Amino acid sequence: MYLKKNIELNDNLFEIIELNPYVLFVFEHLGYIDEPKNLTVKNFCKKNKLDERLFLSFLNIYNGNSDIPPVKAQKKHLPVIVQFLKHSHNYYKNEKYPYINNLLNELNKKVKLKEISLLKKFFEAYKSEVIEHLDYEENNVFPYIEFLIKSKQNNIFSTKFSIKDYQEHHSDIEEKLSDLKNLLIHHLSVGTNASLKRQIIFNLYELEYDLHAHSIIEDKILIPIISSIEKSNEPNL
Amino acid sequence: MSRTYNIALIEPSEIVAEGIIALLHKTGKNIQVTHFFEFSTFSYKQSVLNFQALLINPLSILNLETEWNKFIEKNTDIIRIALIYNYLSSHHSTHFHHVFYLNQPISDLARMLTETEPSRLKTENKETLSKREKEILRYLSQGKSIKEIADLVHLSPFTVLTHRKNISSKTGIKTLAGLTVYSISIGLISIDEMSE
Repeated sequence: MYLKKNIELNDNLFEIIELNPYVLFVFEHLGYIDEPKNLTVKNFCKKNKLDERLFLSFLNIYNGNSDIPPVKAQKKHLPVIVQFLKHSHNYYKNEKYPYINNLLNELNKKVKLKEISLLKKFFEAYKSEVIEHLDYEENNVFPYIEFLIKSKQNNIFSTKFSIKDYQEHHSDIEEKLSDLKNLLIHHLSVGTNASLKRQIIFNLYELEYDLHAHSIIEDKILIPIISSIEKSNEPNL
Repeated sequence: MSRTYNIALIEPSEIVAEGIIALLHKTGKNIQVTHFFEFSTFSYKQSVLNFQALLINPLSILNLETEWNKFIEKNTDIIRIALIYNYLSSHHSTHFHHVFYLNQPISDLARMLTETEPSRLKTENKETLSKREKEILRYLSQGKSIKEIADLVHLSPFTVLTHRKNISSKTGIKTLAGLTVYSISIGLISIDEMSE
């Protein structure tokens, strides 16, 4: 979806957003909501003291271009990445999922068909699964990263957790979201409630886009940095 | 309705070929079948005989990919149907408009053969589910395992799994929970029959 254009340092953010408004997620998840954006990527980074390579990677991933050059494995990136992930989690848990849930409740009230009430249950089960995954990250992964940020070399192995434990999950969650969309688009009738159905479908697409970019950031930026730090701390046997 | 359909069958087994020809004859549709044992003899005759549809056992084109691709390029208007005994890899299914399994009813084949124009390729084609697929979907929605279903319908677990994949590719729905919602929506099962 959207242009797979490779965003570069001298591109203007105003134009990038105009072409693909989904990149606004990057600003929101980083906590730069009201900052002026009529700047080049380079100048925005300078103004907000952001690492150019890291910020450019976020923008490109949210622009549908996940083929990004590797970000240098430096500890200084970790606080920004964790902040990004935490804000995203907050948005999913407290805004996006409850919002879609409400729309589905409304649809279920209006369309009294057993398949719609079953679809609602399907969504609720899927939502619980995602939230469980997000909670796991908040309770295990984030504290571990924060520990890494603070720790001096060589005492990392005092914790039981390692990033290897973390590289699972994701694909099942993506399949369920895709099923929800396909059921609504191709198979379920909602009578006169087309507008409600459309709102749910569009929200599911938006969620899917954001979650997909989110998992690429974890896989292509976060995990390589952590693995590299873990490796550099391995005792030489 | 007396249109004649001129089709080619490429099948190395005489028993299978004769069986299909006899059963197609019984459907009452005017389908003329010319049987070839090999792809090479068929391709030589194709330009003269002008077939509308081709039913082919993909084993006949093993190691003949170049010839087969040339044939596809030249004959874009011919309907290509794969004739499968039990299993076909998804790579192969992209060469065909339809896949016909030997355990499907012959009426399915007659319908595929007598289309007026080729539909889009199998992978893009959202057809309705066959009788067998619906039966398997029903058992899946009831929470039965592939092994249990295989025993119930007297097919190998491998074949049941292939049906499961085809159901997902036709409906666009991959997870069991999603397939169950779909089964309810088309009235295949009732809420009471659902798996937990």
